[in-house]
Amino acid sequence: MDRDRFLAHRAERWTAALAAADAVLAGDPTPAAQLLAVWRLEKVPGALDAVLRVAVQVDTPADAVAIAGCGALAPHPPQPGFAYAHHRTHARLPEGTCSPPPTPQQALAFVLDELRFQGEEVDLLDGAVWGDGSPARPHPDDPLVRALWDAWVKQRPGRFWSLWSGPLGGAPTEPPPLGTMAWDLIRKVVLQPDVPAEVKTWFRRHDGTPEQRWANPFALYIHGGADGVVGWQELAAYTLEYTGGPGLVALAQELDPAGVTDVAVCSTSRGTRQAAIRQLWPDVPCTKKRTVRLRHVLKGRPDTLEALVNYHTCMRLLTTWTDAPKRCLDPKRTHGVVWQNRGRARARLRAVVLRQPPERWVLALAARPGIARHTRAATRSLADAWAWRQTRLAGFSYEPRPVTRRCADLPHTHLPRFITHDEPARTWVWLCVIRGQLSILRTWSRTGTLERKNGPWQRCLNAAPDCVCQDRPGQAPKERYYPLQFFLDEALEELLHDLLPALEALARLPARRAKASHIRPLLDEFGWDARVAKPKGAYNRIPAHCEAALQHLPLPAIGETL
Amino acid sequence: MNRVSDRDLLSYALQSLDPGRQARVHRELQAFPALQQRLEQIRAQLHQIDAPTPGHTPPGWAFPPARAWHDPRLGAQLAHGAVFGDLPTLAPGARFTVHLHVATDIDPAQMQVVVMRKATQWAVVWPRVPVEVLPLTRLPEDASGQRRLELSAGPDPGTQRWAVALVSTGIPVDWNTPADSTRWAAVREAMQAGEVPVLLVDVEVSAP
Repeated sequence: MDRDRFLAHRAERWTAALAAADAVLAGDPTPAAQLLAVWRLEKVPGALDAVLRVAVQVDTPADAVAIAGCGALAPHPPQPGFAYAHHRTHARLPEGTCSPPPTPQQALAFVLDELRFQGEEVDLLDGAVWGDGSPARPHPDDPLVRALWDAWVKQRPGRFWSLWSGPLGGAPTEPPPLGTMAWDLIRKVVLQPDVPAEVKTWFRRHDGTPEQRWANPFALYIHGGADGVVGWQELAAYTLEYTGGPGLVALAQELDPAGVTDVAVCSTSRGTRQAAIRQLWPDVPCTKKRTVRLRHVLKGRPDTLEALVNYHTCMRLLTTWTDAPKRCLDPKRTHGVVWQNRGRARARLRAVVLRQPPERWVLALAARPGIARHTRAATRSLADAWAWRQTRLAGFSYEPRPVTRRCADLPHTHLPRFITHDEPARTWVWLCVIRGQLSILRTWSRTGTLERKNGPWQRCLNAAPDCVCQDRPGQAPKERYYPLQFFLDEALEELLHDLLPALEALARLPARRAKASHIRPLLDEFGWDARVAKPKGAYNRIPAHCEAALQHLPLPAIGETL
Repeated sequence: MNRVSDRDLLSYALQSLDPGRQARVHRELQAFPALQQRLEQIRAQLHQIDAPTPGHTPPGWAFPPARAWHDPRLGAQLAHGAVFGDLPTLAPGARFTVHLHVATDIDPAQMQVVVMRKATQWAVVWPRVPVEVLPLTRLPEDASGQRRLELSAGPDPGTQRWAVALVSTGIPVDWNTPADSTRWAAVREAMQAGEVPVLLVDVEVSAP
C-alpha cells in the first residue's frame, strides 16, 4: 500500500468512526455495531452494550486523535511495501506538534476505530489461516497415526513405541518419525547460543547415544505430569487445535457439558474475566446466576466461545486504555494485549479439554481425516513450546513439566447441576402452563420464591422429574429445584416459544372434547417427554388455561430475553 | 519497530509456529528487510548445530526409561524400593525380587517369561536355551495374586536396566539361530504390535 492510498483509506475509516461515535453518544449503537462487526460481539448478549459503555469512558489523549484524524500526517516510515497495519502502527506525530484536546465524539471515534482495527487484525491473522473448518484431505499416514493414538488411549506402550519411533511411510519424501522430529526440534532450540550452559550440559548428557535419542521423546510425551497433565494428552489437545477453523473454535467444539460449565465458572470467578462478565450483565448481581447465564449462552454454540474471548479482549484493551490513556498510542502494547489474551484463552481452553475423559475425545479426534498432518504439526508446535519452557526453567530434566497448566480446582460446588437435555424441562413447563401456572412459573424462575403457597403449583413442583432436579446431602428443600430454576431463568421464554403450536392446538379443543382420550394423543403428538407424568383429571380446564396463557404471548423474539 | 522476537524467528525457521503466529511473523518479515537478515543468521546457526539423527528403526530392543513406560497389563513392585520412585541401591550380584501384577485378562498358562538386561545393548538373559523356558505359572503366586520373580543384579555398578516380557507361547522362538536379533524376531515383531506386555525396571548397583 502506498502513502496516498493509506491516507485515503484512513480518512474514510475515520469518517465512519466519527459517525458511529456520534450515533453512540446520541443513543444509537447500530453504526458502532457495524463498525465492530468483525469481533462478532452480537453472539454474546449484552457484549456490545458493555463495550460501548466502557469505551465512552476512555480519556483518549489528544495525540491519538490527531494521528487517527489528521489526513496530512504521514506515517513514518512511509514505505510502499508496507501493509495497512504497518503504516498504521508506525504513524507518528511530528516532534513539537501540539494537539487540541479531543471532543467526546473524537475521543470515542478513536477508540472505536482502534478496536475495529485490532478486530480486523485478529480476523486476518488468526482466522482463515487455520483453515475454514471444512474437513481436511485424508493423508496416506492417517491409518498409522490413528493406530498411534489408539495405542496411547488403550495404553499399549509397545505399539505406541514402534509407531512413534518408526517411519510412518506413505509420503513421497518419507518424513522422519514423530519422536525423532520432536527431539531434533528440541535439540535445535536448546543448543541455541543464548541458552544457559547448564541446560546445554544436561541436554548433551542425555543426547549422546542413538538409544537416548529414541527414548527421550517417548519419555516426554508418555509421562504423567505432576500437574495431572499427561504428555500425550497434551499433544492430543494441541492436535485438536489444528483440526478445524481457528484453534480456539476447534477446542470449543470439543467441550462437553461439564467443559462448558468449567469455562463458565472460570469466566465468572477468575482474574480479569470476572470483571468483564460483571460488566456484561450489570443487572445480575450474583456470581452463581451469572455463571448459569453464561453456561446457557455457551451451551451447544462453540462459536459463541470465540465471541466471548473477543469480548474479553475488547474489555482488556479498554481497561488498559482507561487506566493509562497514553497506552493507546503504543501499538506494541496493544498488540501484546490482544495476542496474549488469545494465547491464554487457548491455553485455558486446552486445560479444560484435558479435564475430559481422553478415551472419548481423543479417539474421535484420531478418526478425522488428515490426522497424520495435524499430529505432525502439533508435535512440532508442542516440542517447540516444551523446549522453550525447559530452557526458561532452572535445569532441564525428565521431571514432568507440561506446557499446559492444569485447570485449577474451580468453585463448582455451589453451582446447580447442569441440565443437559431440554426435553424434560420443556415438558414440565408445558405441564405448568396447562395447569394454569404460567405467571407463577415466570415469577418463580426469576426469583426462586413465591409470596404465597399454592396447591396446584406445589403439585407441579412435585411432578418435576429427577433428571432436572438435584439431590445433595444436607440441601434445603428448595435447592432440589435449583437446576430447573436456574435453567428456566435463562430458557423459559425459548421453551414457551417452542410450545406455542402445542398450546394453540390444546386451546382450540372444544370444552366438551377436553377429555383424556383427546388430550393425551395431542400431548404425544407435540412431544410430551415420558419422564414427566401426564396430567390426570381436570382435563376440561386445560383448553381455558392454554387460551389464558396465549393471551400473555406472543413472546418476545428469541435473543431479546437473554 | 517490528513485533517479532528472535524466539519467533527461530520457531518460524523450525516451522513449529501455529498458523496464527506463522502468519504474523510472515507479514513482518515481508515488511522489514532487517528481520529477513536476522532470520538468515538464525538459519545459519541451525545448520551449525550437530543433528545426529538415528536411523528409521529403533536400535535392537531399545526401551525408554522405566519411569516413562507404563503397561497396564503388567505392573510391578520391587522388594527394595519402588519402580517409579528412587531407585533401590543393591550390592553387585545381590538378589532382588520383582512382584508382578499380571492383568486378569491374561491367561498365565499361555505365557512365558522373558527377561532382558541392558549392558551396552539390550539382550535376552533368560531363557538362553529351550530348557530354560519359564512358564508364568512356574513363578510362585502370593495371596494377593502377585507373582514373585527373583533376579540377580549384575556386577557392573551404576544404573542397571531390566525388562520383563510376558510372551505368548504361540509366538515362535527360533532356537536354531545363535544371533539374538533373529532368534527373537517374532517376539520383537509382536512387541511392536503391542501384543507383548513389557515391564521395565531400573535398579542402582553400588560399587563393590
